[in-house]
Amino acid sequence: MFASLALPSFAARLDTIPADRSMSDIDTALMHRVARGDHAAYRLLVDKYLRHAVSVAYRVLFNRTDAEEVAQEAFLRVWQHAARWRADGGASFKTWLNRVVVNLCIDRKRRPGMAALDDKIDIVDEDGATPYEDRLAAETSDHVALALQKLPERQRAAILLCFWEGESNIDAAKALDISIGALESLLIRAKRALRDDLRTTLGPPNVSGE
Amino acid sequence: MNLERFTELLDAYGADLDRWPASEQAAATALLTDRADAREAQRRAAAVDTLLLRADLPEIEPSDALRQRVLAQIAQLPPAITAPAADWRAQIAEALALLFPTGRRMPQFAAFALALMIGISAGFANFGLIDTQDADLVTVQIASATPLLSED
Repeated sequence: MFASLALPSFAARLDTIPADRSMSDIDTALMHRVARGDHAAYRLLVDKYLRHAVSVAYRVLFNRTDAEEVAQEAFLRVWQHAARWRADGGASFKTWLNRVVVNLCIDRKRRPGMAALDDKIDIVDEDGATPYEDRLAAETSDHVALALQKLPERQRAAILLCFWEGESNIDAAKALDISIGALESLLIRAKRALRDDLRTTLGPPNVSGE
Repeated sequence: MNLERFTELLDAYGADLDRWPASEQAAATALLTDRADAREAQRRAAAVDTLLLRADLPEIEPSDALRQRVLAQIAQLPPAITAPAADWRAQIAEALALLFPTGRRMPQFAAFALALMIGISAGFANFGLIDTQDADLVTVQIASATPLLSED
């Protein structure tokens, strides 16, 4: 009887949920090999996830150099922790890697002398011939990225993990080393700040069915 | 669940109830069934979610230099496990995971079937044998009971 309450516009949401279990099994097998010192297996994981690790770090830190250093450190931990990475809750490799990357980002922000969050995002240099829809999508992306950049890093990390990476609240809370309640609080503040910011720059979102 | 808690959870987890904690989903669905203002709040949250998800977040292409550093940094490091290889069950499960990546249950099932086959084979191989002590006893009994036969 509740099926009618489902939101048809949410098909795209599925893209953000890491549901490819077969990939997860392969990653698990590769990690077993890495644990025994298999350099080829390590290389496969690097080829598969380095881009993801750098991108996630960049979305938290908004600094390319720092993001690359975090990704490098994260892969060092892949090698060192390969024997016991599943001991902590049985997460998939990608979830575990997200957790390591975000943890390193948060630790990095605690360091004295760490650059403040004042680096500007590279705005896409738009070609005059770009179709209107593409321009609009690019502008939306820029606005969302800028709004994200304004968030405190913990709020940003929380909403990146739960909303864009599709991690469970339990995994996101572990990544940030906080309780579920504290995570919810971060998520609520992050979403409200993003919504208010985007309402100012883009106007109210178009609510389907209105 | 009241409307205030419902809107908090909408902000925390988005408009898709599948993403909510399982313990909150039934109460949220009941509220949606009863109240138009809850349904309106969900529609508004869905519009914001769609806008956010439509955005392409920054993707960073790792430089070749970074890739080389990441590969080189472990070249001289010892492996996490220096003991002998994992036991045979883990090795079979690992090999099957690489051979049959399409089904989550497949490797476990195949490993179980293989283990069952080995067990049954071992059982048949031993079928009819008795332990050494009993075998010696039977030999002695047969030898003592049939002295003439052994001379034939």
